[in-house]
Amino acid sequence: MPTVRIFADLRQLANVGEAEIPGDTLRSVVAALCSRYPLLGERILEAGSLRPQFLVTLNGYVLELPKKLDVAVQADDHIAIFPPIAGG
Amino acid sequence: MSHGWTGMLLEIDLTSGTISTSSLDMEMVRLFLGGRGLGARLLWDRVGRGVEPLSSENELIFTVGPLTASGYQTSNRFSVSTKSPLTGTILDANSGGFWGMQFRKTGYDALIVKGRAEKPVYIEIKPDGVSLHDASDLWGMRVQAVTKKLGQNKNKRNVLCIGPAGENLSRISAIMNDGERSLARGGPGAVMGSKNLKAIVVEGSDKPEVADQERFKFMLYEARKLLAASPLTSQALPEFGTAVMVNIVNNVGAFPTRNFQQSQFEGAEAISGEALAEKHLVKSTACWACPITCTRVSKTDKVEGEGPEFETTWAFGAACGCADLAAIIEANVLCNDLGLDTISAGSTLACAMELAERGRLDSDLRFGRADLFAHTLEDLAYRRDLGDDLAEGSLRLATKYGAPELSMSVKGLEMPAYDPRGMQGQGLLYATGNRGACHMRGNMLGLEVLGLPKLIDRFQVQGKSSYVILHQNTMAAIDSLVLCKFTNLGVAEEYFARTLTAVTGVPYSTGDLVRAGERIWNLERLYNLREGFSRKDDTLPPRLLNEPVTEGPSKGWVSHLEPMLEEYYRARGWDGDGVPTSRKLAELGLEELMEAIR
Repeated sequence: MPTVRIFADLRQLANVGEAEIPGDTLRSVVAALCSRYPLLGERILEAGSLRPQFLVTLNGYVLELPKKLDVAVQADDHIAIFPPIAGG
Repeated sequence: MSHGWTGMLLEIDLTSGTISTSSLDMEMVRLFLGGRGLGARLLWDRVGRGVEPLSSENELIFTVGPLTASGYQTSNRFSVSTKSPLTGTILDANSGGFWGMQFRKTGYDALIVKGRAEKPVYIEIKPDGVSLHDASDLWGMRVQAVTKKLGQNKNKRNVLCIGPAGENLSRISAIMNDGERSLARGGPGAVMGSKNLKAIVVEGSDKPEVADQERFKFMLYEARKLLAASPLTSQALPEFGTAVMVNIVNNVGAFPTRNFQQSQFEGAEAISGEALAEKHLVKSTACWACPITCTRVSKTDKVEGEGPEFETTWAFGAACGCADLAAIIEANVLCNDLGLDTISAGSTLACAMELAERGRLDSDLRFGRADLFAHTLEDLAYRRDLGDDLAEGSLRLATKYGAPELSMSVKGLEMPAYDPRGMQGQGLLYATGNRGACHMRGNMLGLEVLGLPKLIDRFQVQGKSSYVILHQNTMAAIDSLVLCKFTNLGVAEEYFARTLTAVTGVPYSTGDLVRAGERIWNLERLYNLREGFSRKDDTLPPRLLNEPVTEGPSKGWVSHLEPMLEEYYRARGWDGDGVPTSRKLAELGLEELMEAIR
């Protein structure tokens, strides 16, 4: 199953930083993730889709959303979800 | 007196002990705004070609901007300009806290310190006058102790000083203000040390005048709304500080590790902003007039202090192969107390670690040896043993031990926490930086990784120059107002221009503001050209140009700098050697300076 890591305040909503989540597209993985962690879902979903300000990477490549929401994911893929962040 | 600016310059000659004031050329001030821009223009006239940075001929030019102390969000910052003892380039560094606000209230736009005192002194600027005092009993004291001894009082009396690193002329030493804030990059602490100047204490009573109070109040209201609405300035930075960047930069494979040998660090999670918040955070705090509160106060069993910021976390973390967050916090607090630039200190240690691992340097330093941080930093600040070499910065260190290519620097300034192989635009930004490799002269992180305001392909080469130039010009303007760049995460440049107009009564459009930034950038370029810098200095360490990343999302990539540089020069209106054309200089009102570089 793909591994999903979440960051910053999202961790407080799910009480985990990482989980294996079933799914064969990013959309289905996100749906399963939010189903498992409803508070997280409230934060990152809007009308069933990822809010545009969230940053998602697949194996370290930043995905352009929502265009790439249906990208296929493999069992050994790593997905990372970040809330809006800045710094430097 | 003009609104926004006082038009007054305070000049102190430490050789003669003379203190004088004069009026600034206000037309020049309006063109260069204040802060970094004003400092660059004054430095151009006053510190000419070939001046040795640690000689009495070099000057320290402290400046504030037209918005400083106005009460506008983040209007606390100030700047110092000088010729860098680390790079030999023009240098400015700016800092937040409270000192800049207080200095502005003393009634000056700029303070120039020149010459060299015979024995240690400190300067005191108060409503009843300016005076020089014997600082023999302060010489040798660390930053926290001297700040306290000179009576630091948050909103009333503010202390700026150097620590032992500046006294001992370390080329990577900082000037510190308000205890834990720093004018860090490029070694300004050493310039202050070379003048036998330990501290500058300010107490002000002026209230800056605003030309159009009603309009200014509206701009304050607008900025308050925008900063509150932005999740970056109202949530991410207040809650996690800048160290929240560790995981994302590492995730995309742009987190330089072990002196840039890798671009992902296996210990990133342990040193992240999330780990800092969970295990070490005491509270968040803020500079004067700042609603963002990005500053962390953190503690370990041994120390408590402000920071560490993202860059420091990286420099003593991934760059040194150290996943011990407590050790990083302790190194940060120690650097602040010794008066050291944490980026250059961490990077120089990382360089020494690689030199030692490759057998070029006889030392116990190795990647991951966080247990050696404290001892090594003390040696560096006091120039003891190997510390004497480390105090020179990574380029001189690596050159001495026969491997200059192991210094991860541009023009001698150590690079910050982004690997240009995984962020092509960032490489161009580093290579063209007027003070050397710098993430504060613009930063491609937003565009190349975070998608702010939009996502562009971080590996793409073509077309990057226009983004880099816009960033560089805009940041030069913001550094001259002087505001914190984080304000710009919520408030667009258009609002800054309108606020500048309200404060000064001088009409500025957004275009005028960005054009002022371009003027400042070109002036800095001219300064460096006059010093003998050329296209060959606009480059990156050979490792980044020739050694592909070996694993992770940036695998296989090197920096493709050359085509970006060609495009950059053209877009800047410079010739193929990186020299601004007469036409460009005429456009910017700088044509009379051209003669100096012919």
